[in-house]
Amino acid sequence: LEHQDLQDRGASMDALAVHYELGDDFYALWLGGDMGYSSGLWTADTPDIDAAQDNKADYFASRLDVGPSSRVLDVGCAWGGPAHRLAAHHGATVHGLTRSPAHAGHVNGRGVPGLSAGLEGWADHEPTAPYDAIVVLEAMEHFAQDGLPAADRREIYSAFFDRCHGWLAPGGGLGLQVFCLENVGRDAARRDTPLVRLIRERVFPEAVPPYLADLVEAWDPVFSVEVLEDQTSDYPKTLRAWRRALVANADAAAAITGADVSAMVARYLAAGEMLFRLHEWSLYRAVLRPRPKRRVLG
Amino acid sequence: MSARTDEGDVMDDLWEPVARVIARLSDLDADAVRPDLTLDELGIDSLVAAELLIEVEDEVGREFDPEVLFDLDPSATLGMLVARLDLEHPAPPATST
Repeated sequence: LEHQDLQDRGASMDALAVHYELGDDFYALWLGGDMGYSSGLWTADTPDIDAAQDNKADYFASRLDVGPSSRVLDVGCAWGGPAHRLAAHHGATVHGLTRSPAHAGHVNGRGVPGLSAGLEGWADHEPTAPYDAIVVLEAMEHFAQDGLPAADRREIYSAFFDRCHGWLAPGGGLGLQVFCLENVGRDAARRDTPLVRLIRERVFPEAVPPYLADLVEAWDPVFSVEVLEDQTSDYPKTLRAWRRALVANADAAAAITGADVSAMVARYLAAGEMLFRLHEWSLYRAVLRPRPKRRVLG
Repeated sequence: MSARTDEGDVMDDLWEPVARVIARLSDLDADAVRPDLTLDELGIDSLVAAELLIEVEDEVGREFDPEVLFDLDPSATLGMLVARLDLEHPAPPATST
């Protein structure tokens, strides 16, 4: 597949703008201090969303050996919460990719040494040097448009993992946090409820979470699995924390987006929590290692 | 105010928060939320149910199994829902209040 094909089969800029361009100040009201927009990692003694977000970044940093000499790529970096943690706390040089102008502007506006973001999709990215680690924290739902045939989606995921394999330095690794569809039927058999419709149509148009089986099939030729964990219980806690913060700041939120939109976002945060608690979506964390090249001796 | 139904007094501590949240979510007067009304009549679909459960949990400081709500038929009454929530052995809260 040519890169333009790959880009065109992911979410369009217009679709991404529906959610991500509502205003950075709106998201700052409820995402937590570092504006991480993916699930945090909660342990028994995690006090709040900020600590849970740090835990998540640190989870990948420790398993991918991210330190002061590391070059890290963050595919789908959003407002750069985890990327900021990897740069400022772990000392890495981190480059984020995003197709949202708001995201790129925010990350570059942080003015943190070693942290940058480019307004480009993964299909267009040409690294200037290999990366020691690549992290993909809940970006893959935008890689293949909702409604594409399953074979096309798998082809896109395969192309993505092939790219990552080619971008990694020897000894490098890929950290993946991804929410997947579970127990909802395949494709056309997926249930269509008001809850699902809100997310599919009004919050994340053109997006579709992958099925874990499709991801495994896509990465298996080039990556081996070092870690694969179902950590679904983290997401209800994250979504509840976000929703409580948004509700607590409802007036300020409504002043930015209008009351209808901020109420709709609060509703989506409740809907998302319910999808995880009903086991219709699962949250996985994975650490993948490039497979060695095939041996020659017969 | 508490509702008296066939389920009796056990509903008392949950009825008020549930009725209050439904009135808000469905834009009804509190008096209009009665235990004999069905989920369908109250406009409680899967999306309203998600907010309903979460807001009730936050109000009463307990966590409920969402299947108690999401496995109900739209023809189930609000009284049946509250009785089921009340019967459920509450799980330890996964979220701090």
